[in-house]
Amino acid sequence: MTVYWRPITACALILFALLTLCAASAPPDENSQNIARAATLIQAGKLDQAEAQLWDVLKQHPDNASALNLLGTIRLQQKRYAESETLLNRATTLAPDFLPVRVNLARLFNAQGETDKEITTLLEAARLAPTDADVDSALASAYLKQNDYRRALEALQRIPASHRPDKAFPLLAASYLGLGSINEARALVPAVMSRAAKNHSLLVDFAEVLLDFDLVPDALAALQIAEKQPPLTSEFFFAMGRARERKGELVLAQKNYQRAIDLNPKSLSALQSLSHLLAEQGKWEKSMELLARCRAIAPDSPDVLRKFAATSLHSGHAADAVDAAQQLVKLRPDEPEAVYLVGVAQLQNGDFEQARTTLERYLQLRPADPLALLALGMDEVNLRDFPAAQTNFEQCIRLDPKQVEAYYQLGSISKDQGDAPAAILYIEKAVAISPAYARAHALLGQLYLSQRDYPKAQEHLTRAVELAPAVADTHYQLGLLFARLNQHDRAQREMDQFHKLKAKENPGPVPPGSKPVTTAPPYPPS
Amino acid sequence: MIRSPRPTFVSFWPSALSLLGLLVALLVSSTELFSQQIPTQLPQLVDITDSTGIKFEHLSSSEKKYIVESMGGGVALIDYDRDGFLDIYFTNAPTVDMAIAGQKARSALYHNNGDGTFTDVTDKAGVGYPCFAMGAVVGDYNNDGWPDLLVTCLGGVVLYRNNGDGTFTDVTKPAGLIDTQFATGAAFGDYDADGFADLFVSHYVDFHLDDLPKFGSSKTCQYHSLAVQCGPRGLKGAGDLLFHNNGDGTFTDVSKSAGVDDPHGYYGLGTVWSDFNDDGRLDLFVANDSTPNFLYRNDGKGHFTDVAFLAGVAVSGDGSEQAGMGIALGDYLHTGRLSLFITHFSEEYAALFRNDGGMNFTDVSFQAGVASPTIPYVGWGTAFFDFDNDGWPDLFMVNGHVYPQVDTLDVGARYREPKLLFLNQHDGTFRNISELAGPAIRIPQVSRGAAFGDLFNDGRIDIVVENIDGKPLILRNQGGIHNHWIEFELAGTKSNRLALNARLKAFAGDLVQVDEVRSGGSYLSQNDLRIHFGLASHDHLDRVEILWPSGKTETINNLAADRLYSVKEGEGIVPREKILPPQRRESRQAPVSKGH
Repeated sequence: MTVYWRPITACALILFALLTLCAASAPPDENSQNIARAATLIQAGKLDQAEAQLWDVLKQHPDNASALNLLGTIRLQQKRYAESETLLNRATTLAPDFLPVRVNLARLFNAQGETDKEITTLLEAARLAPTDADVDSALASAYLKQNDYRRALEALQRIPASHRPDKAFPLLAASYLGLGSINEARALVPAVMSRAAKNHSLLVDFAEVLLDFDLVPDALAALQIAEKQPPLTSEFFFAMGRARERKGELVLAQKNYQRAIDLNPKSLSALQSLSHLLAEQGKWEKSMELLARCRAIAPDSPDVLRKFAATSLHSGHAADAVDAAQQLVKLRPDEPEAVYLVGVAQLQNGDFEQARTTLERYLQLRPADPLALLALGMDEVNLRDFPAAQTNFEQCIRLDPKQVEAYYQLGSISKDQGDAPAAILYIEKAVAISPAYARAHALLGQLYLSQRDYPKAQEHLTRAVELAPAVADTHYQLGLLFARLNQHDRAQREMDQFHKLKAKENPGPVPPGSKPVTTAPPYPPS
Repeated sequence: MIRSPRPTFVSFWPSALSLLGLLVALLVSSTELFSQQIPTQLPQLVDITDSTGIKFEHLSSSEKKYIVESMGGGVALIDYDRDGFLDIYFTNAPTVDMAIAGQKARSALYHNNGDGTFTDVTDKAGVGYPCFAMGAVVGDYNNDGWPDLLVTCLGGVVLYRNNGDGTFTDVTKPAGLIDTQFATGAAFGDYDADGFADLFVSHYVDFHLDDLPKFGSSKTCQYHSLAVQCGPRGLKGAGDLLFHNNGDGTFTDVSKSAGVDDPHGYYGLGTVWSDFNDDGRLDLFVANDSTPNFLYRNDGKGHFTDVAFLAGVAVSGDGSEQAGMGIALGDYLHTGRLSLFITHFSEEYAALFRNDGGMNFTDVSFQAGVASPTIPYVGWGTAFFDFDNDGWPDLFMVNGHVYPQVDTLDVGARYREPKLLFLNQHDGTFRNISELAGPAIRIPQVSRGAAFGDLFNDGRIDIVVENIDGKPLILRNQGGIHNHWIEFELAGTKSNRLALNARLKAFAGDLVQVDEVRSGGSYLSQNDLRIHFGLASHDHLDRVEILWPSGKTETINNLAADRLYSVKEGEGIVPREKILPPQRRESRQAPVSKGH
């Protein structure tokens, strides 16, 4: 479930901060005028000029809380978060009851994804302004990020119905739905409809919440009403795209996402969603193009980096995956999944020693992760450290007895060590778990062929070809088998097929010492 | 690991006894186990290069900007003067820059003085400057009893006729050996059993000094993103040539009609003749670099059919093309069938194809234990040879990378590489004993050709290695348990004079071994044409069966071990003089003999 709290929260907080800027105006002296001018300039996006105004004030009055507050917001917009926090904290110390500063601090923590701190700050703001609907709305939004639906609802229920701002309705819906109260959520619809006439985006936001909780028909109904209220925004098309995608109408979903992007080329949500859709269709290169655009728009977005890295891996751009994953780790050094992603990317990129170090580090954080053990084992196979690889594969199986790839890898190791009988045992287990595992059938066939058990070789190689007819090497093995059985015509047919498929695989010359094919590693745990 | 506190002496004593007893028991059992796997006294391969007096050094460019500078280095063992001691011919090549400037490189023939030393007789012999040389093989094209030398080159071949007086004559043109391509491997073999050895020459890439591929210029001129020499992939390949020996000192190119001309231009390297399916007809194996190998089945009417894929030797066991370089042939399993071992590039394994009979082979490289140790190296010259004379062929290969630039990479590969020696375990597997045969083979070098033979006629197989950078390595096989041996030098009468591809089956108790006389093999090199069998503890050979190329079979019974026997087709064991040609002291223009 994707929860789109951040845009709602950000909008709410910005609006609120700007309103409080105006509300908290100083006495009509020169300082106040400068501050008011600065506030106007900030609203107009003229940050440098606003800053100049504020420094004029602070030079003479370094403890002016309003000026510090505004300068803090400028730094926030410039993403200079550390400086922003210093300025806002200073303002808070100087004017503990100055509400706008608290709100701006909450914005800062929101921007950095530090929800706990955001909530603490908003609670302080609520203490200062217990009836402030915007503070309660922002607090509810923060609680929802943590899926704390009860507290979110409590915060929203403090707002009298008559004072309920538009933005509170989607938040209420989310709170009700999170607590399983579908009827209460649906009961909000009439109010939403009546307000939607003046606030077009409200229906879209409401529909998004319904989608988050899989109420797809309700969401679609709301969007179809919104569709009759032009102008249709990028957010509308994005929400419609989501609804269509949930309904399985992928072509329509794709069109809507594209429309959203056309209207707002910097819409990260739409770009990511379309990228995901394309990835699901196996169109990895196109998917990557879109994620590259996301990365250009939001280079420090952990979510974007995560998706970029994963898609890069799928589309064979391992070096790009390493780069993105390493950047993610810098932003999220304590996030184990980020470390795992780096390890897997390094493995795919052939940086086996680095991958080993990284995956070992991950396993110190998550020692019982079977996928990571599998990845580490595969890395050690590439490093030809078979004993270590074996240990990790066996541990993986202990944790996940149905991890078929681990059995396959153990079989491969046994084969490489010349122990065909042991290899057969492992691969037989793999096909028992996953009867449609073509690669395992092919290897099993090859092993039986080497052991001169021709009936079993034929059984498994034939199955492998049924499951994956375009794999050249299986046809080669079948050709060898039929040659052994003196069925020369069949043997030749298989060899001809092998040559045909091989020519497709390798249309041109490959560089010397081309990297051995590494089995695609398992992807990050969901 | 947590260590328990050290016990006091008193409390320790009783348990120490039992522990000691246990340890001793374990030691005994492990020794027994060890002795089954590795003899407690192994021979050593000792570097005697300096003491031989051999001063040869292969010229080299430090950067190896062009593939032709990396691919030479073949070495031939040839008893050119028929004095019973193997002499050595080292091939040499200039750098590309030198060649463009018209400079040459001196190959060298060293006469074996029989006392552990060698003398450079190149100038007298007239074999110093054949060409931009790659490899060399031995055959007696005119059946006069004097082994001739065929040198492969960038730009064709050179056939040196042995005049019998210590000199050679370049008879390439009169012999009709028209070849202008980049020749690499070669082998003499009488494929039509007419008594005259024919000649097959493999070719590598289409390479010209006036149109050089640009170093590092494209994907196929890069190794792990490092700029290196181009090829072979990305370069146009060259076809192969089969020359039929007309029996009158000339050859005819029958490549196309025979079906061995390689129209696709695979990158041919090592090549060897043998009867792989025991049908009495000589087949041909060609190791192709980065492209499928050829196994040409002799159809008996002057034509061959490539059956490599169906036979299972075209590519590796899992269907991958590999960089086929050198070839070894041997009956390592004592089945009477000759299996194939082919050396490869790094990050690939050297492949052992077990001969299962009926022209079927199985890649048993991993099963046999030879795959993993070979993966880090680029392998070249190789042979099955009985290192310790226990009657079971062991395996040796020399290595050396192609890119000097690899030393700047952090991929684990190094330009200079050690050699590998595998001891036959008698059960289809080999054990890597490279660390146990003396330090000489562990010294990293850039090796290419390797020729195996009994240089000192002491019943031990020695090894001559040509390094492409620097001086060669002469390894003398000495020490270890004394096992018996026997050697045979054959002379054909109805068969070709050197008895190429005569097959011997030697019986000593339950030890039954098969080997054959072969031209070529290894990497662009030539081994001793005499056949050697280790006999372990058997002090005699019960019998030897010889299948001559003419089809005649001869059996000789009850031969004492530790001797070299001369065998003449149709006459059995004869004094050595009876297989030698008459000594020539006249000029080089000796007539070509039509009969023998």
